[in-house]
Amino acid sequence: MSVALKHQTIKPKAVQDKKSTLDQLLQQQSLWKGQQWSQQTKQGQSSGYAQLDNQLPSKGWPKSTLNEVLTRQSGQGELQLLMPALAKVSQQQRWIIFIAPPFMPYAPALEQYGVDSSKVLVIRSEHVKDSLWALEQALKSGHCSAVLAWVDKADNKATRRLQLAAEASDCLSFLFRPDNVAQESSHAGMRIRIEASSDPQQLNYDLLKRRGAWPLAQQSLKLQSPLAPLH
Amino acid sequence: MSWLYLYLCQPDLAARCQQLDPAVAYAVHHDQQVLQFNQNAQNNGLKNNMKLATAFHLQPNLQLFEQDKQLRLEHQFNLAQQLLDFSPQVAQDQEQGFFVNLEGMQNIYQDVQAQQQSLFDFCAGQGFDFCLAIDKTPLAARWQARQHAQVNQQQQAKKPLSHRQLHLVNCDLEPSHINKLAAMGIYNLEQYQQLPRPELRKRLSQSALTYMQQVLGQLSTPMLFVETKQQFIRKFELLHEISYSQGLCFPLNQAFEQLQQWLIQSQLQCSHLRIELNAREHGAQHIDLRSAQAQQASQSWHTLLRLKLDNFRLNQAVIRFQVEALDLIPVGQQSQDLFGTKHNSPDLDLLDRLQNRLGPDAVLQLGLNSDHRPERSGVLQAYGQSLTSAPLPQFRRPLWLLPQVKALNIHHYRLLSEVERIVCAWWDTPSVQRDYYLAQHRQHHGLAWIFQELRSPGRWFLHGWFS
Repeated sequence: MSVALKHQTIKPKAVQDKKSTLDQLLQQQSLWKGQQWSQQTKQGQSSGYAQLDNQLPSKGWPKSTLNEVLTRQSGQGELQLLMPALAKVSQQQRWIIFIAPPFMPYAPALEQYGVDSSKVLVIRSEHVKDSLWALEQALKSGHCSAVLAWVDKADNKATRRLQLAAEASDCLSFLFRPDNVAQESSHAGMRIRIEASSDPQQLNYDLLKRRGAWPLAQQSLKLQSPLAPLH
Repeated sequence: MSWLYLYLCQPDLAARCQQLDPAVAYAVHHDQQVLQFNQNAQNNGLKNNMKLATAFHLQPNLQLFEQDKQLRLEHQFNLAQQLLDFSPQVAQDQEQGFFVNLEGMQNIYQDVQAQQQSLFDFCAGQGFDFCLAIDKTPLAARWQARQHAQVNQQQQAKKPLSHRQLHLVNCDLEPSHINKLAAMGIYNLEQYQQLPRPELRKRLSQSALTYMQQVLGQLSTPMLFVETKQQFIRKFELLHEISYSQGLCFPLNQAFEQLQQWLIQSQLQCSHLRIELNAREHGAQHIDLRSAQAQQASQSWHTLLRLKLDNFRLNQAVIRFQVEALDLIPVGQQSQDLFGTKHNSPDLDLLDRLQNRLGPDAVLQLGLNSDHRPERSGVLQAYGQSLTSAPLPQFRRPLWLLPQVKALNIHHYRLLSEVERIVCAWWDTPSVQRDYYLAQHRQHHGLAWIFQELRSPGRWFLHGWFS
């Protein structure tokens, strides 16, 4: 009985001590709270798809963060997904840079989607390290509205550097990687896996990582079909 | 009139090195005899015309250079060009010095002393031994400089020597004339001036009399002045071989500083530098530094150089290099870039960085052409080429175009669209006669742009992805 009484008197004090320690840590900003992040999120660049904008905490493609786009192979609809946002940012007096793209971006097609092709620069590089260097330079320069880079291999250190460079910039940055790296950790702020659907007007995607919210799997999005007439 | 004479104490040694290390003994030799040497070597007992074996015995760590007339001439040409920064009238004197007219620069320099000081600072920065002297005539200034050089090298004559102090042994009269005058008890210029002219005529030749009249300013001295060359090509000798690319940064930075000074004074800007790296054997390697904006600042070139050297491998150790400025344009004459902004806009820094690290062919722009052949209507072109506008095609085009069409098995695809026939005119090459379709790959569902050759039905090709 005396033991029980002793227990009753000690427990509230221990809890109180722990709570005060936690408060101290929070005051020192040593702990990161997801709730805080979602409140501080900057407004992103609208993707042009209401469904996707609603699913992204920044209400669009997050700016000042590295966005990873994972695909099994090129030509799955990954570029088409970005077209509305690129068309919007191409109105700025800044560059849109494609670094080491797998094929040639076709200027007439970009123009058809409303992207000003005169603002597009294409950087060729033979080595991954050069592609990563060019991406970092483009992010740091402050003269790009969007940077898109295709890189097969990027280790943790590289994604960390790129994420830091992206945080200091004010541009959209997309790193295209093969989807077999989905299980690897990455410092990118947002990761999306894309897959073409059997329905040519539809795109399947998984939001593998989005800051301020849980991952979201097996989503479908209706794209502007290439079969639709031009206006 | 006021003239300055720059006397090079060891012209061959000066041509060898941009920056001599005072702690090292250097000498120039020819035919196994020492011709010129620096102060350190002199302190160790080296003398003119000494045999090489004796010189090495006195100074085992002596660094020797073979006399190279061509190299000396190139160095003196470059030096003359640099001296034009201080005076519009510079004349080269044989192989040992330069006459510099100090008149006409009052708007830039407050007084002659300030101009002289600037020249002294410039020469001191070049790293060779020299002597400067000023007098009313060019030949008198040379006489003074030579006499000063006998006493102490690398100095600025603070105060012109009086005529009494100018010894005839240091003038340009032939030894026989000097001996004749010495026999008369005349050893300096003041004593010479006191002699009546008829007496001098009896003892000296006409050329000697003319020379002395030129020294005293009674006759003018004919001179061939150096003309400004609107080009920057300078060679730099390295003290030690450089075998790793990053080691080139420091000596090249010195070259860039000279370039900056030359560009500022010539009121020019440069957008292309070619650096030639010479090895002891084999051919030269070249580094091309290009800038989308015309540059003057040495720091800008240095930044671009460092980026370039990151991916540059030296085939051989470098013993000398040459820097040549290409694509020079006057300051203020700048074209507009594709955004309509001036060419020195800061976003071009990014392009410079990318082009110099990855190569000029690595930075490309998209271009449109008024051509309905897919390969021609959208192209990748080098940055800076003019962009044209073209009417857009009526049908959707793929976002990715393959660099070369790829044969495919039509059974792997499902046709989704109506045919779009693209046929070029008979005179167009390459000839295009194709039926295009939008198709979906049956396995990975990617949307493809495929075509069938009209001339060989049944042959299908992949040309792009709608991505």
